Amino acid sequence: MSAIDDYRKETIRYIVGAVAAAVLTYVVYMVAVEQRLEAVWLAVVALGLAMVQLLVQMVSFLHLGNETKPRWKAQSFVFAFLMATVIMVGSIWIMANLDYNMGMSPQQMDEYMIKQNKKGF
Amino acid sequence: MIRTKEQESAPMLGFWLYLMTDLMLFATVFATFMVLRHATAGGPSAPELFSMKTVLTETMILLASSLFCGLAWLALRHKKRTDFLMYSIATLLAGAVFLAIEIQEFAQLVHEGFGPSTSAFLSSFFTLVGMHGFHIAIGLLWGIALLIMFAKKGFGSSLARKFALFAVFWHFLDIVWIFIFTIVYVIGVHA
Repeated sequence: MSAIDDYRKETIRYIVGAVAAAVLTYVVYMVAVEQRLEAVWLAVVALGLAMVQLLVQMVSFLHLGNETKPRWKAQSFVFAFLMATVIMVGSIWIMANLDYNMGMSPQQMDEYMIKQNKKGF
Repeated sequence: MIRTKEQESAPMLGFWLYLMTDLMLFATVFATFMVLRHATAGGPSAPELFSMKTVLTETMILLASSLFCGLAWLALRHKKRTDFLMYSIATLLAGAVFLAIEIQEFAQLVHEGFGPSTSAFLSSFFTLVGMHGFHIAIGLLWGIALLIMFAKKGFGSSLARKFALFAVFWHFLDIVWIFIFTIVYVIGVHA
């Protein structure tokens, strides 16, 4: 009796999670296709909703909030996600900086180097 | 919520740690893509190449596959044979359809002359999306192997443990796809 109730309850949990994920995906899709937002804001909104969907799927499909105490899976995930973010944001930052600083003529580069040298360390 | 030993066993933790290293691999390839996404070398850029409708379809199919996989895992924990069989076959079918659409998309790009060697942007695109697709292909083979095992031995004690690992792998791939959808397609095409 209670096992059947559990089965039904958990089935509903999975379906609710999937519907929430589908709605989030569709909202992002509509926002992108309608082109109501500026590029930067679209990126912010899309990434924000992706993070929400990440949490939804982590909880409803991977049961991450449901672990017993040492919570190795949640801990290793948080650490791995932090490292992944460092890799991605770091790469973009460094390469954008490089792009900006290399995007000048040799003459401009010379002037820039001289100016930087005068500053010293 | 029923807690099972399969969900927190040592093999599960080990497999989970593998997935976390896989996450790092995806992170580096994502980083590469984000850095190179404007480096089209005079070739076509994302808005000219990708159809958002196809991508939305792909995304929904993969999400459905992930849902079926979760339901199959649940049916397995509750020892429901027919439900398990139905849901796991649905999982693999949806996964196969997803992969077929992706392969078709790749083939079309290459056919039109926009293969991975066209530009740095396309190299990184094929690497990232192709790597995800390769994981899906491996997952499909794994799922078929598990179904054969089920046909031969039914619900043995080891099927529950092995299917739990497969389910976690499959859900993980859907989570990676959220970010491919967002970064490669939504941001790549519109921002």
